[in-house]
Amino acid sequence: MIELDNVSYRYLGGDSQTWALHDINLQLASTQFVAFLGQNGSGKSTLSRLLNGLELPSNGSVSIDGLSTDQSDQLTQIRRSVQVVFQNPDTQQVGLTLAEDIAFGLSNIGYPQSKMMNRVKWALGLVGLQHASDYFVHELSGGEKQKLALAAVLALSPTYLVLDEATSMLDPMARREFLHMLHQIRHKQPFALLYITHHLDEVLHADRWIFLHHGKIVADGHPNDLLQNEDLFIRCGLEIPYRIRLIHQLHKQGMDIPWATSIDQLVEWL
Amino acid sequence: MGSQFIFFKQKNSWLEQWDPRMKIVVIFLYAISLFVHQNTLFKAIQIVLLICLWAVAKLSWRMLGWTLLSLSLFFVTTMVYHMLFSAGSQTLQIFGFHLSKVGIFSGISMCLQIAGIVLLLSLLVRTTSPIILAEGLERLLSPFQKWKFPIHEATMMFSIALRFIPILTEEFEKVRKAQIARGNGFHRGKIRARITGLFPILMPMFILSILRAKELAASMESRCYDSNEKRTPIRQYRLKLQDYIIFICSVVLVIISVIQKS
Ligand SMILES: Nc1ncnc2c1ncn2[C@@H]1O[C@H](COP(=O)(O)OP(=O)(O)OP(=O)(O)O)[C@@H](O)[C@H]1O
Ligand SMILES: [Mg+2]
Repeated sequence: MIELDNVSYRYLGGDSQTWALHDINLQLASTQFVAFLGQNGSGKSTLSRLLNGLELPSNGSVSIDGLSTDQSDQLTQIRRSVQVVFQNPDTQQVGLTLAEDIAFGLSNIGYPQSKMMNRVKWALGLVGLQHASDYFVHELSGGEKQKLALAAVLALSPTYLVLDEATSMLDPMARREFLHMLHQIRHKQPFALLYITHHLDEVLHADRWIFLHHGKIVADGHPNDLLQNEDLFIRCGLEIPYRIRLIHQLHKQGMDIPWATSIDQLVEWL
Repeated sequence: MGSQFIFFKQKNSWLEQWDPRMKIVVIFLYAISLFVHQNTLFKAIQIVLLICLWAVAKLSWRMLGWTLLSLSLFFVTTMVYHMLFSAGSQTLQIFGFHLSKVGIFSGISMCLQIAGIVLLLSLLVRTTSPIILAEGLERLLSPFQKWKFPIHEATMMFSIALRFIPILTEEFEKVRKAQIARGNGFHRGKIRARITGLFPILMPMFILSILRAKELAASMESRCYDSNEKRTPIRQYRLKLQDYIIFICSVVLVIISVIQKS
C-alpha cells in the first residue's frame, strides 16, 4: 500500500505562491491499475517523483508499505519496490549498450551474476528488442528508448510500477502491443500499475482514475462513474475520444453500452 | 550491426571478445619490450606481428594506412635528425650531406618504436568498448582499493562521462542548428565573428548538460544505484588456458628484450 498523507510539494526556486501539489491524500493498493489524468502542469510528474523518494514532500508524508520516504536508509528498499519510468526518454539510459543498461539496475540490486544475462534477454524480449542487446543506446529512436526504459524497470520486478507518459513516443500499434504485454505480465506476477497519461483510451480498463488539476485531486473513482461526468473532463482540459462521446450520446438515448466497447463492437451493436 | 562509439566499432573479432584485463596487460608488456631492446630487425618483426593482429581484429587496411600516414611527419623529422646528428665514423654521402650509417639504423629503430606504440594503442581502443576497457582497468587496479583509492567511483564517473559524449554532440547539433536558423553567423565570416558567435551555443549547451546530468542522476538513483552498496559485476571474466599461454609468451618476450639489451 502506498499512502500519501496531506502531501504538498513546492519547487525550490519556482513560484513561491503556487504548489505543484497541494494537500494530496491517497491510498494506492498493491495490485490495482490506477490511471492519473490531468493536463500539462497539473502535477502528475511531480507526484511520480515523490513516490520513490527522488523528491521529498514539502509537507506531509509518503510511505510505501510502511516505509517512509524521508528515512534515507530505507530508500534503496523503497526503490526496489517502486520503479518509475520518467517522461523524458533521452536521459534514462545509464549503460552504453542496451544489455549494459538493463544490467545496470540488476547489478545495483545484487542480482546473481550467473542469471543476469538471461534476465537481460528476457526483459529485452518483453519489448521486442531482443535482437538489439549489443546496440549502442544513443543510436536508438525515441520510441525505442522508451521501450528500453520499460524493459529496464520490468527487469527489476517492482511491486509498484509508475509509468509517466512512458508510451508517448510509441506508434499506436506498438502502444497497443505494449499495453497488452504489460497486462499479461501483471497477470503472471501481479504488480500495481500507476499509469500517467493523456490518452483515455489506454486506461479504460483501469480499476481507478484519479484526476489532477492545478496540483489537487479533483476526482477519484471508477472510470465508469467518472465517464458520466462530461464537465469534469472539460474542467480538467482533457479531450474525450470520439468513441466515448458517441457512447455518451447513446447513453442519453437510453442505450446501455459498456464504455470499453470498441468501434467494431459499436457498429455491430448499432 | 557496425555500431560505432568513438574509436570502437563492433566487429565481433576474437580480439574484441578477449578478456580486457589480459588485453591490457599483454599490450603493456608488448610496449615495454618495444622500448627495452634496440634490435631493429626484432622491432620490424614485432611490427609485422601487430599488422597481423590488425587483420585478426578485422580492422580496415585503410584505417591502418591513415594511422601510419598521420605519423609520417614524425617519421621524417626523426629520420633526418638521427641521420644528421648521430655520431659514427661510417658515413654515406648523398647530395653533399654526410649521413651517419648508425644514425640511419637508430632512426629506423625509433620510427618502428613509435609506430609500434601507436598500433598497440589503436588496437586496444579500436577493439574494446570503452566501458569494458574501464571495467578491465577497474579489475586490474582493484587491489589498490585496499588503500582507499576510489577505483570504483572513478570507473563509474568515467562510464557516465562516456555516456555524455553522444548526448552532448546531439545537443550541440540541436543548439547549433537553432542558432543558424536564427541567423547566428558563427559558421561563416571572420574568425572573430565566428568565435563570438560560438557563445550563444555554448551557454545553452552548458545549461542543457547540467539539466541532463540532473535527470540522469535521478534515473540512476531511481534504479537503486548507491555507490556505498556492493554491486554485482555485470560481466564475469575467467582466465582460460590461452590467456596463460599468451601471458607467458609476453613475459618471455620482455625477458628476451632485456637480455638482448644487455
Ligand atoms: N524543476 C521545476 N522547477 C520549478 N517548477 C517546476 C519544475 N518542474 C515542474 N514545475 C512546475 O510544477 C508544476 C507541475 O509540473 P509537472 O511536471 O508535475 O506537471 P505534469 O502534470 O507532469 O505536466 P505534463 O503533462 O506536461 O508532463 C508545473 O506548474 C510546473 O511549472
Ligand atoms: Mg509530466
